[in-house]
Amino acid sequence: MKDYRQRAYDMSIFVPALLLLGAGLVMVFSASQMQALADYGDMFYYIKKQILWVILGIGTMYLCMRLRLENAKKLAIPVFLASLAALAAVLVIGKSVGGAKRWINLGIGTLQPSEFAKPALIYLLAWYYDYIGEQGKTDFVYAVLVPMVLTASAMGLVFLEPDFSTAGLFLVLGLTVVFTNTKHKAVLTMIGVPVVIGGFIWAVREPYRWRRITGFLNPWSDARSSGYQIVQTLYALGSGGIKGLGLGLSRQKMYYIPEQHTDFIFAVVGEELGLMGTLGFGVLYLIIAIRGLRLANLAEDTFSSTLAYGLSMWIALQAFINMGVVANLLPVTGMTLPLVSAGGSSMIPTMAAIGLLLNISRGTQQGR
Amino acid sequence: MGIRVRDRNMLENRTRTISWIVGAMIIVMLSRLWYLQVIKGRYYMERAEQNRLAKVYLTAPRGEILDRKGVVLATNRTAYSISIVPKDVKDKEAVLDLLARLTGMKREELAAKYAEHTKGRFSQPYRPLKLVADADPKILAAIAERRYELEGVTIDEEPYRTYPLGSVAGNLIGYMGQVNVDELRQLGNQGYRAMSQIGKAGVERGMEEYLHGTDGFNRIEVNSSASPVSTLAAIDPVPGNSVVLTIDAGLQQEAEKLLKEGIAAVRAAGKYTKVKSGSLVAMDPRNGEVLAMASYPDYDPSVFIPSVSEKDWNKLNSSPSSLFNRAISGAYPPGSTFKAIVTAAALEAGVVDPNEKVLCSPSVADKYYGMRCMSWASGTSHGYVDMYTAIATSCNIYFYEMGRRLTVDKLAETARAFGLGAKTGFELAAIENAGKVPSSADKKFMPGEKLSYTIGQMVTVTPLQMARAYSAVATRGILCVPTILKEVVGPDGVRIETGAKAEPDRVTLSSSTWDVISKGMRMTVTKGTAARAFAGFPIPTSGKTGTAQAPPNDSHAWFACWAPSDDPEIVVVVMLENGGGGGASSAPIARDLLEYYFKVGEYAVPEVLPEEMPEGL
Repeated sequence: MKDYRQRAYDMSIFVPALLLLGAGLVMVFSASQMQALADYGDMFYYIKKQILWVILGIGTMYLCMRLRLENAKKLAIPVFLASLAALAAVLVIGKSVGGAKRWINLGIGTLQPSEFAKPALIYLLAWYYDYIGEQGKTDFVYAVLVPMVLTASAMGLVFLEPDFSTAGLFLVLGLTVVFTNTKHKAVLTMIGVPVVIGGFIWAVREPYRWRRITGFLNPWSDARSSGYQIVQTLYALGSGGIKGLGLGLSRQKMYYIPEQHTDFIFAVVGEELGLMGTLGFGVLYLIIAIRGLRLANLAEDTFSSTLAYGLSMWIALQAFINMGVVANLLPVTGMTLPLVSAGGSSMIPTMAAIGLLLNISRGTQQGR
Repeated sequence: MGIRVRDRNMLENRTRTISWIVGAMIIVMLSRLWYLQVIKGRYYMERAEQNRLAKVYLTAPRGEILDRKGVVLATNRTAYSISIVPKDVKDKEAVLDLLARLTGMKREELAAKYAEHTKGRFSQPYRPLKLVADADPKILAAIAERRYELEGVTIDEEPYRTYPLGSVAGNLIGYMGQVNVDELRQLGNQGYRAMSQIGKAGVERGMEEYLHGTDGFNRIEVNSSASPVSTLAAIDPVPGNSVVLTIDAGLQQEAEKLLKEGIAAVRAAGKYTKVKSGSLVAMDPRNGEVLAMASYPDYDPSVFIPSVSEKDWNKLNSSPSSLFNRAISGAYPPGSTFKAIVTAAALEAGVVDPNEKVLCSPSVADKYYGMRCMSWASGTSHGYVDMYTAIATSCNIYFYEMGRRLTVDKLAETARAFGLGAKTGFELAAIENAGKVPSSADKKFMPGEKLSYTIGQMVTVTPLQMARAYSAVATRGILCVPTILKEVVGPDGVRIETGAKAEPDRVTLSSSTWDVISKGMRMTVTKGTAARAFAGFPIPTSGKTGTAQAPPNDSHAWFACWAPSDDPEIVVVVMLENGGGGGASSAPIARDLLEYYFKVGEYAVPEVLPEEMPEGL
């Protein structure tokens, strides 16, 4: 039979990813230069580091593009175990920041193991469904219970750091992958409802936790202390208007917006580039998400399909959460904007995911 | 081709569900952004423009530096600086005119600074531009009086470093400066900012981690005339810890005075006119506490506050450098002070009996490769000398003979046992010189070089290392780690840390060896090379002179001693670069310092002084 697949990478994933990387560099420089000058006397301090991360990220992406997935899927277990080990290590030797241990200090820089664990979990689940598919085991225990236990192992360690929002993201990602691989639909309600109720009770039991979660609903009630950052972020996003103040002209980035070149970079995008900028960034993530879903449908084996689902939904969901925090739709979580926020712990795993999506696209029939 | 193991229908079904969710998310996000950026855009824009929040850093007061008795060597005072915040300036020309008049600065200079600060699209008009640092109270009063005409001009408080005793211990204390890019790269996450001050030399640098506090900040809301209305959040600065040094400020001051006068006296005597620099170390041999450490020329660290002028900087760096701490950073050949180590090596190796006599006479020169004893230059010679006399008169021939009998490695090993050739463990390790003690592994020694080794010409040592080695001689073996840190005291006055060191090392020699060295060194002061300087001195003192050749220049003058001889309390080492003979140039300085230390007062100096020893001993 003739192989009619077009052996080509999906440019509709590649190009948006590159555009986000490039625009991200511009925004990181714009957002960080003042802080870099004030902290290090060198306005290029952060951007130089970020350029290095982008280069390493592109290398990672290339590596993941060229992997032979048929062989590489065997790596799922060791990679996942390594991630669990790193998550466990951070609890012991992690650098304590504000009572939470999320970072490991490597001397040359810091590393956030939970970022690497996200694609590792998705990768493991993809391999797992592929494996039980071949074995023909699709009953409840194999198709639902085991994957949820695997998810819970990573989630639990992140929960202990503690990093509740990232733990929540692990749960959602795990559920998404299970959802796309099982016919036991009712199961989702069976798992989802108790988790939501349990989470709610857990959140309400500690008043401070509840205040933090609901604080975002009315930041002005507390604008002078904890709501201050959110209010300042809204000032930034809002004052950009439709066209923005112009590249480099954010007034809020100095002093007012917290972590302006990492978690809150989207606020600087909004202020400098306006609605056109925020929508532009949003559309690029949307394209990656749509093409990822399409890939999941076109992929010819369970592994590729599940991987495409998981990775593209991860990137889309994290982008949505980050933007949602900046736009005050969600409480502050400390999640980065994929491909854009400064920092290597976010950049490298995300670029690995982009590389894997491209890899899958190459082995897939691209014709319409 | 892969195997289709998935259920197409289910897959499409799932994708549809997810697409709905994604679609809902898009609608929520889109409407939220539209609401914030389009509908409420103007509102937020106005709010942002009225945003008058500012983050004002509060510099943490630096810890004080105190001497062992609590005398303040370095502290802080409040200074006031005048700055201008361009964003708040309404009538630039008028403000600059008035400022120029009130501060006495040139109008063009002010305008140029202002233009530089505000030019370009990345300028930060809300960042203050500092115009006058540490302003004169008269100028401050004039500005405060007319503040309504000077919108945008602010007066800020800043803690300034100040050194109440001026140049006393200046070189040791070191100085402050603005943190540089490299330091920031290393320390940026430890609370340093581009404008932070950091210790650049001496104790200020070496004990930075104790002295440096943690800066705080105020996030303040200001009204339209830039006056603070309310503080939204404040993190108070945490003052640095104070360090109590082992230095005795009185002794230090006396040491510096004596060193300076001693150098001037040698120069005035006309023989060694090139002597311009030197150092002195006084230390407690029982515990290694450094009581005084002087290096001449020195400086007043105040010239670095708020920043050093180019003229002062060039002056400090001109030869001989004032910034160089010779007591720990300078390594010099020790000359005959090294003979204490040779004596120990020879006796421990059993190559000589202390009573054996060796002939010192020009007739034996051939035996020692033509090398000479300094005494011959004045037409005399030592004749037959035993070990005690050889030490007291610093007879080179005797020690050449020891050199013939010993190996270089035995000499090097003994020198290292006395702590030479390695850093001492002193707190200011960053600027400490380890000196050099070569052994046969490092270089091949010619026979003559081996003999030179015995008179201290093949090794280099710092004055501090020498003080440590002589502490071991004085205490018959206690080799302390020299220390300058007595304790660290928190801002609340509670002691945080003591400078207590680990158990001192020991130099293990047989008791008879110590006896010989002690007796020889006592004789040096009673009837040897230092007898003239110590004539009549009531406190029994022991020591050794040294005259280290430094061709083509004049020799370095060394004197190392301790007192009282049998119950040592203090070791003093004096070294004058190119100062000529140790007995004539350096020993009087040490003697005068001991007079001060023991509060000797007047004492009878014999009318007939012991005759001056031949030069170079």
